[in-house]
Amino acid sequence: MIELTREDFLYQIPLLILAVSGVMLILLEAFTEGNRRDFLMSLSVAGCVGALLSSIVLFRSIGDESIELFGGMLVADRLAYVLTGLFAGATALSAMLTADHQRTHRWEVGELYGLMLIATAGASLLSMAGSLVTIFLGVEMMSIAIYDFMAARRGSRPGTEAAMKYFLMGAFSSGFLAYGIALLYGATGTFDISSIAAFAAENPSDPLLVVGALVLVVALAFKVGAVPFHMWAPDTYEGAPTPLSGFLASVAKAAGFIAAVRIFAEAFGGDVMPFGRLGWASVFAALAAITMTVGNLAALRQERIKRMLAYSSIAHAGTILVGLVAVGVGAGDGAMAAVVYYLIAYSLTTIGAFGVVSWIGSRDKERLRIDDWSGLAVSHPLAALVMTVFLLSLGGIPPLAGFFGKFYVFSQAVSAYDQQLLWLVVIAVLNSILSLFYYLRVVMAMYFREPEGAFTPMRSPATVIALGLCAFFVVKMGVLPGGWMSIAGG
Amino acid sequence: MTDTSFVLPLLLALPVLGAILVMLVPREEHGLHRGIGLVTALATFGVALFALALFDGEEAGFQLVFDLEWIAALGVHFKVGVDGISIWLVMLTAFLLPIVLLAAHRSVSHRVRDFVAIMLVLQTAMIGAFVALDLFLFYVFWEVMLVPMYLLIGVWGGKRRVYASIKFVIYTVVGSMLMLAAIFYVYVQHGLTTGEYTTDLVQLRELVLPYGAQVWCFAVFALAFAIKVPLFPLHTWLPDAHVEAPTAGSVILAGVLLKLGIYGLLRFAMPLFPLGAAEAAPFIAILAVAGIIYGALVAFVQEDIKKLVAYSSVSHLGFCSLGLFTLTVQGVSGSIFAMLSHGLTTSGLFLAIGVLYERRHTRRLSEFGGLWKQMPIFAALFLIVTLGSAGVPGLSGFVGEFLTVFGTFIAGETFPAGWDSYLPAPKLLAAFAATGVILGAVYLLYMFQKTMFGPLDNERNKSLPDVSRREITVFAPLIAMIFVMGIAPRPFLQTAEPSVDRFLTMYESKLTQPEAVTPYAVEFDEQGNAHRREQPAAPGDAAAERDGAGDAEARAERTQR
Amino acid sequence: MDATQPPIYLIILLPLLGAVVNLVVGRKLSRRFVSVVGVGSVAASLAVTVSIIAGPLWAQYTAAQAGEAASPWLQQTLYTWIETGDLRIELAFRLDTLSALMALIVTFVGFLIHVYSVGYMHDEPRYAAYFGYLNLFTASMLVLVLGENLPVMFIGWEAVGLCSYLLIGFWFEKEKNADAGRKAFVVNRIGDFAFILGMCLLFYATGTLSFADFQGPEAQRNLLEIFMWGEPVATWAGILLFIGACGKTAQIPLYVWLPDAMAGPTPVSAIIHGATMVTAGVYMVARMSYMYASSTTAMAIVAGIGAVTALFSAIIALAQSDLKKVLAYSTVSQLGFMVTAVGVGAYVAGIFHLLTHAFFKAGLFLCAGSIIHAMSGSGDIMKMGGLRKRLPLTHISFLAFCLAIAGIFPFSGFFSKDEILVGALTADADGWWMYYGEFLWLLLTLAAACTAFYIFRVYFLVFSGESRADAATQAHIHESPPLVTLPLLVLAACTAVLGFVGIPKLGFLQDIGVGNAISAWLDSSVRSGIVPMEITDGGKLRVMGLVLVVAISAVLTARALYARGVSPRLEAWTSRGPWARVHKVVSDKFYVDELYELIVLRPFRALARGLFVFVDRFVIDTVFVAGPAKVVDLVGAAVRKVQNGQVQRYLAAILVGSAAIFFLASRPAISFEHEQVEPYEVTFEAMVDAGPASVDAEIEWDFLGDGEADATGPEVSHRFSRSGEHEVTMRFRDGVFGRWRSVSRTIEVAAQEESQGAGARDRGAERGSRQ
Repeated sequence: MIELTREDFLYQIPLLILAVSGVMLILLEAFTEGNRRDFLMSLSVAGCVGALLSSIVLFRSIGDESIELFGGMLVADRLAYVLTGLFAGATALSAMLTADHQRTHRWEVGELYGLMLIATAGASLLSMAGSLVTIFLGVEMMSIAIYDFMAARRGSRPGTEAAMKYFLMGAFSSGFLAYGIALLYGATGTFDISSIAAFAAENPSDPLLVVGALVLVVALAFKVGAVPFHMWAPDTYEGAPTPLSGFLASVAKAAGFIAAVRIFAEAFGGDVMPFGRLGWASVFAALAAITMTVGNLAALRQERIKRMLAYSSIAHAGTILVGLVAVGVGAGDGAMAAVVYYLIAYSLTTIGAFGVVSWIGSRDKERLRIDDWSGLAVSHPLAALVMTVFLLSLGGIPPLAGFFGKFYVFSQAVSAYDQQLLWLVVIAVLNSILSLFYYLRVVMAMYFREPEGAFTPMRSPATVIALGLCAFFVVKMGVLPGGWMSIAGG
Repeated sequence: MTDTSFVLPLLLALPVLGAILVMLVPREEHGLHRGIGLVTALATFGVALFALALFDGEEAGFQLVFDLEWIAALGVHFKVGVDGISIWLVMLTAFLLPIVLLAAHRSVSHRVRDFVAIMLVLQTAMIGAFVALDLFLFYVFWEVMLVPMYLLIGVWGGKRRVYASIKFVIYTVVGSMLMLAAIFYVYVQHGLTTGEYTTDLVQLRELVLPYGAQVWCFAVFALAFAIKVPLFPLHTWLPDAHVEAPTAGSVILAGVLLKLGIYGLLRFAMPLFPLGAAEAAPFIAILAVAGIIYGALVAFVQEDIKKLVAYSSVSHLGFCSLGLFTLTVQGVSGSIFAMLSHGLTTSGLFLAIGVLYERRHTRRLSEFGGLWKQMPIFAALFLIVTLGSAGVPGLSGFVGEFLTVFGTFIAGETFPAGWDSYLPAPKLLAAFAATGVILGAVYLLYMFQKTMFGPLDNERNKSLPDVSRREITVFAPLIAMIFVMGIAPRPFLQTAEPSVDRFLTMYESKLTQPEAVTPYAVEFDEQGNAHRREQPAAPGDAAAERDGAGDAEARAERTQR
Repeated sequence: MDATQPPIYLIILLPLLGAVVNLVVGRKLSRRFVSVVGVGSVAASLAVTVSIIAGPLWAQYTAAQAGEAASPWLQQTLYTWIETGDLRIELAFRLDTLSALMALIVTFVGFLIHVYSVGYMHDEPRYAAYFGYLNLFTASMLVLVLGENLPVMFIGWEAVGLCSYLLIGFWFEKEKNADAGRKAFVVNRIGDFAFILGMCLLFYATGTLSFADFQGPEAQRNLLEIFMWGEPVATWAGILLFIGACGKTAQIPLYVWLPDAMAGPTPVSAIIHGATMVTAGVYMVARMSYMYASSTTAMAIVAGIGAVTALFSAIIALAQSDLKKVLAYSTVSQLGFMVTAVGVGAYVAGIFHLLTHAFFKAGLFLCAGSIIHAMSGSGDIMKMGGLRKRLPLTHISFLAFCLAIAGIFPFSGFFSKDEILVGALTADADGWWMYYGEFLWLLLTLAAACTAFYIFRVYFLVFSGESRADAATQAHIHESPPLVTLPLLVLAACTAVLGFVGIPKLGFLQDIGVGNAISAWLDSSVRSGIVPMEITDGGKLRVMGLVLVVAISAVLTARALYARGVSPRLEAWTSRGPWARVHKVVSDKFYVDELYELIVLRPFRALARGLFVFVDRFVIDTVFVAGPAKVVDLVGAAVRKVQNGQVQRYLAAILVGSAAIFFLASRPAISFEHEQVEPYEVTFEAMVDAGPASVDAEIEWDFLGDGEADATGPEVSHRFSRSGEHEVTMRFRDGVFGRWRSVSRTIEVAAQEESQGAGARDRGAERGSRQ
């Protein structure tokens, strides 16, 4: 029987804050009158900020230790708190942007905020996972909440369709997840990740173990939107309310990656489980190459900005997979830090980008086509500037966060494993070139064309603050990446 | 670090601060934007002059070095400094910017605030790329330049600006991103070999990579820089970019940006990968000469004046690339001098075209003719820059071309490797390069004649006003410098010479140094992973492929003939 | 700068300042002021030149003659112009007897022409610009002349070309004039291209470009080293520099610009395209005599080109009807004489002819200007006639110049031309063809005959007979103002007497103390006597007599044919029959311009356009730039199509993807390593990635290449029967699917134990295959 101690609760305060405030918000919503959404939003942001602050405090106090909670079901370490902090922060930003979107497009649904927090709690759970059971729990907790609020904009047909698709595919992947966990349990007799790691080190060729791991690869590839398990992503991102697309692209994606890190890097870390020359990483390497290439190629011809950003997010998943491969071939803490850094940088950038899309589309028209963005630089220079910052960061132009993220990931990948990943990095670099084109198409529309008709977006302090924060951090992480690297573990 | 180390950071910060200041001024206050921009640019030039005054021309190494740890975990430093080569390029940049801002007074009338801010940011990026002594920092500045230039072409450009700007980006990004991959490789190799991960150029230069790696890395670096130069046949972005860019953009593009290609080769590609450079030298030299001739020929058939001048840049930059790969003091100095001179003369030409364009809104040669009669002062100014560009002795263009050709001519003795096996006669190359002297006269005088001479028969040309006082102010410093550099080139050459010497001695010493032993064996023994190969690459093969010591003698004999 | 040195730089600086003043602020100054600056600066320069020559240089010269001083020249270094590596070029000037003579010609003739211009260009609206250019030209020409080394000379060399360009195109409103200017510049540039290469070669071979150094033994030694094709440096450098000279001095094949250059104002033709600039090539060869002396091959080429040019253009001049065109071809021809002279080593003769030619050709041009002025701007000699009475002063001077150029005793041309002919006839250097000198002499004598004929053809057509001009023109005919005629008379006077500075060295004359002054003066500056010239007094006199007879006969023939307009018989000859065709070819200048157009210009333009359209637009832009972009774009569109919103398809993708992952993961990478443990004995170890597939795997080895398994198991060893290369194959059957795969590699087996590096070298030969 597991004994609960005070530490068990102390170390999961952020998680608790998220979960509890989520539930509270849902309850509260039931008792509020129709027009008090801002208040709910503020509360959710407060909850997130609380989680973020507590993560920071715990991050500082825990040092390099790794503490098992609930008998190993959860693991508290720096990685967990960084990610929890990221999730909380990203959720807060998304929530701030959502309020505006709800108001202007009249789909005020109050329980959304609570559901968002619960999804975030699920993501945090993943980041602390010490056991396959926790992984399953976290994934489901997050996913179910997301299915829920994806459909929150009831009047929107694409929204509903997107939610439905996401749900269908999600259910499919949950099946894979459960099946993989079962296989691993069958092979090792335990759910505990560290015990599985010990077993794998001794029996690297156990067929059941290998097959189970492969099934998990598929499940997680779905979550992070890797090709060919990505096909839900464009439809879902496009159909979802814009700020929630940002949430999906940041929190949900990062959560998928952290789960992959917990399983693959920790259970099958190093080279103890080789299939193919690089171990499990070889599968990820292949996935990474395909994902980047297909994502970028598909993004090239998109006319709709959200769909373009969706494919861009697929491409970025490929880049993160490169980092994961580096982790897999034993590049060490540096590679891990690079992945985490990239996740932070990418999340902030993509939330910002979706945020600008949402803000520009507020009031009369959603402005989802790239052509709608013509001449933004003339009518709203600041919005155009901020969007440019995000797009260039996504495209990997220095001195922005996205560039440094790429630099960090690629440099780690090159140094790993006898420099044999150079081919992957070259593919990644070539893809960066490709990606610039569709990002620049938007810049081109904003700067090079004349505005077609005036439009006035909503004045909203929350949006401005959220976008300002995103832009500020995107620049700061690029210009002074040192501090962020040490946070990420480098 | 000395107490003068603040100068370069100040030089970098000033334009950015100016840009921020400009952005804070309300959008309608065009005069104020221009004023702030001009004052900032002048102040920057002042600081650059101060830096020049502090600079010790006898010293070969980097001076005014400012070194600040930037990203500790990766060994990245914010390290800047200048030597005898970069100081002049910094001066050129700082010199051109006030001129450009002043020149844009009439041609840029919308979104002035953005324009001024972008120009200032661009200036920081360009100066940054010239002074960066850290590979990472250099790359950052190198890429940062891309965006303002892209906007400059795209926002203030002509009709086909979108096409031109995208083409500019395609070319540049293809080169620079691949270079990034090579940067990773060098960075990691240095880390693996010495145990110290750093992007400090001075330290990376000590590393001698294996032969094959050098060839590849050099190829990739050279691609990035060759695109920027632009070396034939990677040049087609340039005419389009020039034609569509506003005058200010063209001036900056031709005046400074192209030089970064040559500078990159000189500062990074060649010192880091000398074996690769030696292998590539004959090819690059041949391409450079091909570019000299090709650019000139194609310039001759252009109907658009700006395109003509753009192709002339291809031709002139061919001299710069050629001089660099002669690896003689004269050739390299000539290359640097030619860069500076080209920066002045071609800027002058673009400004002159700008003057015409502002008046007539066309750049077709057939639209002009006989303008000397209508605009005598302008004609005189235009003539001087044209002749400077054509390389008339006494003006700046000649010295660079002469030294480059001369350096090529004598290169047979100093080409360390690879050269003679492909080309027995650098003399022949020099001869082909020297045809640029003829061809330059052909297309430049053709251009001049079509615009300035002949009957003044186009009605619309009969009322053109001559250059204004402001325009004369724009041209005056350029022309003064064209004369100064032609009449007294020695100070420029002498300041650069110690650095050039150092570049050459380092380059040559690295050619004979043993290659670094790849460290994989040690690494993997510790990890004990049986699945990894442990053999170091066989260095014997690489050495055998290169010219041995015995070949050098044979080569010396051949050159005697 | 040495303060005790005479200010040589002032000679250049004064006209330069004049140019700066006139060009920069001249438009705002009065004509009088412009004239004063323009003429005054040259006059001042002339005064400085004379005073330096008469003072310090003369002192130096006499001291050297007496053996007191080492060098009979003055030198002044202003500063170092270019310095990089061992290349060091000083901005230095050298005033020796040769350059002093040239400087005198330039400043004196230049001064006269400036004066003439004041009258001649009186109505020109761009008066200041004209004088600015003219001053600039004078300064540039002086740089060329006084430069102490080749690069400084080259500054002047290019600058005079530039001034020539500006002045030919001075009346730029006419496209033709601008074309002519450009042609001149470009053709000169072709020469300069070779000149630059010549300088490179000289510095490469001798380490110096300074004129003084070429006299030294070290440079002389270096010049004689073999450079290419068995010829010494001197030959190649000589040829390259001479190509430069061909451009400037209008020799075949680069003479084509000079006739067109007549588009410029006439005084410009006089000074630039008659008297001074075009002789720069001759001067350069004389200046570099110490180098040319080292190569008889180069000299032969120089002399040959000169002689052919002399005759060829003299023939063309026979049939031209434009006054200035005749003079232009005459100039080319006379330059050919000078070039032949310097080519055969008769440097003094060449420079002497340069001197006399400067006066009479400048005079001829100035007269032409006066005549054309009188004829209301037309230069067609067929429409002139009878001007003797109307233009008496012009007539007198023109006659003097004609006699001089025709070589009639005692006018100056007689003396200088004879020196050249004697030089050519007696020249016989090592390695030349037999009778080469005589051949040159023959060409030149024929050219001299043509010269006398064409110039008197002009003379008679212009001045004698009845006027053939229309009434309006006739009414306008008048003698030019004194400012125009005065220089003419001065030049004519000089032409009449100048020959006596070069009285031939004849024994009986030397006995009575009459020597060749110019030869004595130049002796220290040029290297005379390289080519032995042995001829008796009698031989010399015979040559002189012969050419005098030839010239006089030619003059008389001209008189017979043209004294009263074109004689009817000649008219008949040239309008019908075979002679008409010859006449047409000659008067159309042998179609050289058309030939150039056909074989140089058209291909050049076609090539340029073709490169632009095909290489730039098509190959690079369309195929290599737009091509890949298009492909990427199409692939992107295809990828986009796959995504059609149907969930079934999504599920299918997931299944396919999963299957691919499983397949990939069940296929371990295989390879093997080997190590030689003993002679002929090698151990092998299979390297197979772990995984389900490798659990029940089988491994076979084939060492003999016969397809049979020689051993099984992951670690085996084999003893080879011989050393050398062996192909070893490892076969692998995986445990899941049971497929066979194999990997082969060629290994090196040594009789002795080998080092460990063997494995790596084999890596390149490794290849995998599936069965």
